[in-house]
Amino acid sequence: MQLPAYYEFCNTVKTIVGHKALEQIPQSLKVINAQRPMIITDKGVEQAGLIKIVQTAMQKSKLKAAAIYDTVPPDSDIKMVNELAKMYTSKKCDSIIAVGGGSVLDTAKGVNIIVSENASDLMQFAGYGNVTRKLKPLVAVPTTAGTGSEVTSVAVIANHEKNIKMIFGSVFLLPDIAIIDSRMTKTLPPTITAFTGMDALTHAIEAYFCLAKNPLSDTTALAAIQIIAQNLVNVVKKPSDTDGRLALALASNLAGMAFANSMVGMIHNIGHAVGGVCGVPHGVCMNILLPYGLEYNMHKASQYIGELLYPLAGDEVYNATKKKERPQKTVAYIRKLIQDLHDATDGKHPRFFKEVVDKTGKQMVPKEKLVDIAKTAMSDPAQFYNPEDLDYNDYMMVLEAAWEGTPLDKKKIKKG
Amino acid sequence: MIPYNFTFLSHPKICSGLKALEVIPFELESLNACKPLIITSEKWSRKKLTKTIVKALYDSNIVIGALFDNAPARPSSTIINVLSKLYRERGCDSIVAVGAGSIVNIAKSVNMVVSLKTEILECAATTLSAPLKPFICVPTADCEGGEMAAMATFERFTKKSDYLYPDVIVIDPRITNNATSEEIANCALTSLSHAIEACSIDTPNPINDAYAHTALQLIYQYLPKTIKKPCHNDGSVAIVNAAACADTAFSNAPEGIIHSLASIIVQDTNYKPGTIMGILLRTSLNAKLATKQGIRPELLLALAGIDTYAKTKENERQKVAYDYLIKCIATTSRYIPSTLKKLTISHDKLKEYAKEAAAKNRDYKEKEYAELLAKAWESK
Amino acid sequence: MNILYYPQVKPKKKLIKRIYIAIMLWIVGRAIQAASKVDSDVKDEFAKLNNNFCLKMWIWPNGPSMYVGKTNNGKVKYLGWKDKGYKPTLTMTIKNIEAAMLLFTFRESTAIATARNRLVVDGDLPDACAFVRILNIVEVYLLPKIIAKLAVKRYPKWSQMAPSRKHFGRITIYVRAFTF
Repeated sequence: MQLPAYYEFCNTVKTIVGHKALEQIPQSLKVINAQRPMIITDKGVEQAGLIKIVQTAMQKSKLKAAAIYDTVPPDSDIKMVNELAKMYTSKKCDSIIAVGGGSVLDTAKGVNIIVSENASDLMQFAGYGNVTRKLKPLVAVPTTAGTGSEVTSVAVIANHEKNIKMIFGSVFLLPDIAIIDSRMTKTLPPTITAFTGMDALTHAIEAYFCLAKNPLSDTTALAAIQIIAQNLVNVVKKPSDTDGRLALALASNLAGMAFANSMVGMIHNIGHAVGGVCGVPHGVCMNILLPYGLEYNMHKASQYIGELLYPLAGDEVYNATKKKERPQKTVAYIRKLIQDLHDATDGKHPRFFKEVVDKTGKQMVPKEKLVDIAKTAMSDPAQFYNPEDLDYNDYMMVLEAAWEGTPLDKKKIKKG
Repeated sequence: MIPYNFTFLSHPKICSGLKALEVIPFELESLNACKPLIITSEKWSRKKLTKTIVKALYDSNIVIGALFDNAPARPSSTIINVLSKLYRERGCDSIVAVGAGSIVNIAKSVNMVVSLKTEILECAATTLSAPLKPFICVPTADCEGGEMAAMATFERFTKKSDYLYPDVIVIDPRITNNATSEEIANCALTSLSHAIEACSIDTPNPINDAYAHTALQLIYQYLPKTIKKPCHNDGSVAIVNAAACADTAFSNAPEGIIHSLASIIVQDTNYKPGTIMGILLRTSLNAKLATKQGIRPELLLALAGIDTYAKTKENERQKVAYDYLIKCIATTSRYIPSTLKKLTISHDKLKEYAKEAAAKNRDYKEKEYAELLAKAWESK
Repeated sequence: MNILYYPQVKPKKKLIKRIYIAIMLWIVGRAIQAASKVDSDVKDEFAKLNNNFCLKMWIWPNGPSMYVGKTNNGKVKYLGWKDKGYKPTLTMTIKNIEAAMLLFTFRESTAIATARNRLVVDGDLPDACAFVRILNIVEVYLLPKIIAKLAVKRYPKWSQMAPSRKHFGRITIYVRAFTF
């Protein structure tokens, strides 16, 4: 293990994991003197009946939500945040329970800033480190086993009138409690399970080879990779496996801890751009780009990438592979994992960008859009943490390969 | 497979390495504080650590409310009251502790007194339900275990609460490289025991294991060279990092048999916790190996790394892990005796210790405590 | 115990380090202005930025600082070290003077400093990416290869930046930076 000359690691979230973790919400809130929680969620979660499960779990200890808001849009918006803050105050709530994915949690974080700081304008807290006080209690209940946003200290909230995205970063935005309960991910369809799992895997792998890696992000990342490799395909094949579901949700949390502290690199960088330009779900982009990100950084991080073979494939494969061949074997193994998921979902899990289609069967990433994607990727800050530098031509090279599904031509990767 | 069912919390932010001290002003400000009370002891102030700290705060808006460099070896209520008064009179808004052991315990106790606005002895009975004042811990390499955990010791009380974690842990080579070999050995053995006890429980907890494994790996890798050369920058930083991880792992696991026994013996005899824990750990490992229970093969992965783990045959991993651990403990043999007998602990006392431990930690029976003690007193 | 014995301490300033950093910031600022006229890549990057672009690079909490901005006619200008009511669209904060020393004595590259959380970027993040690319090019011009290699992730090859272009650019930028 290499101890970097300097590193920072921070994860202040209390994590409660179990098949009956939801039942611990009342007790945990009681300890911090909160009795009137507000539940924030979105339509999808509500329709899947998950809120009912949360409420039933809370009622066992006679705790009732003081307010419920269940129509958070997929893109957190400042108007919505203000509206919710008013609701919070008028119903005299004293804490927030956010049930859902990234956007629900971002909205909840925004609401929490307004109600805790008694602010009228969220804008004055935008940027890095402008929230400097402990906020009201916030409980995060993730419903997708992938984003890991329950352990990140960042929130992105859009102002659609001014057409800008405000980024908030502060340790005080970290939720107080994260509840990892298998009932919350039990009903996820296999395709979504597959790509959210790959999302978590990408978090962990990028955390392991990018520039801000540190001892704690290493061990958490390795643990996450091992759990995902052992469970993902099984759960996709057998969605009712609650132990496997819980394991995946926990792995997503571990991966979140790792990447929140060691940051992510070019896979996220390009993934954000593809999501922004073509609207492809984040997890799908991660899944497709993962092997390419590894290939591109191979010459700078071959040792780390080689080590990844162990948690992915187990000790037998690791032992049988020569040290020099391990990095390549890691990439091959991930390609095989993607292929396995593709087979397990009857071909619904895309392997390359040309296979990504929307509900009507239309191709989501037409080849002529790659130029736009590369240009957008140039202005995404995740590239800072990537071991190797990228310019426009490099982006195009990676994108074209990931579109077609061919491995990167090693000779074309520029080494400085 | 037993399904996961656990709670985990690691509150502190760790800032570790080159020029880490200089982030203190930034961290204080982001905790909304600007006037810290700095607590350290005469020993460190003689080694000019106070000077280093003050210099690290140059070029900032921080004002040091008071620089107290006379912390005694025991966290008595007298000193806690004096410092609480000093804190209030100077209008401080945060605490920085430079050191380990009693210095940190005093700082945590003062923090309880000034945050809850009560007397220290009343704190023992109150449940903490809100964060205390910002508290930054700058550990030296003579940690006794528990500094960076969710607990505080004062007078004869040990208080546990999530709010007793430090907010920030700043590990800087300029602070850690001042310890002696003996102190390093003690610190490493405490961390080793805490980490091993935390990851040998029956219910799986991968998050806590990750912390414990980090501690084990750092200790195995850095202990031999740091014992030889305690002023080594990387080595001493790594040992303190391991202590921080082990303390977190310890806070999130049930108290183990070694910790319970050691804390009772330490209170009675004034030996360093690391010394007692080292002896008990070696004995308990021997016993575990004999019965082939309780040493998890994953320990080998944590200690020796992926390559060695993968190469070792599955049925040999426990044994090899044991060998690695004993080898690691053996590097401290110059400073830590191998039995309790050599420490001049009287044999008559053992029964008393076992009884006391059984009353304090009911997870184990008095017989188990007594057995371990008997073996540790005179091992073959 | 007499608690008055433990005094309140007001930390002083690190004058020499402040002067060194101030000079380095001045050179970098002037060099960026010069490079925007000499190098076509830098020119292109700046052309893509908004006209209200204004960068503040400073040491938290009390400076020294540096402002670089675009004027109304689209020219890049070093605006000095004093805050004359600029509205920075991009702020690069170095957390303390020692972190700045590591950065400006080239012991840590910009990428490593960001990864180690010593350099905090705030504001328009797309602009930040462009600016880091500009900074990389400027560093290649200003510094001898042996040092610049430490400061940037990938030192440009012959095919990307021919030695003739590099050396000519280096001389012009230095001359322009130090003359008015």
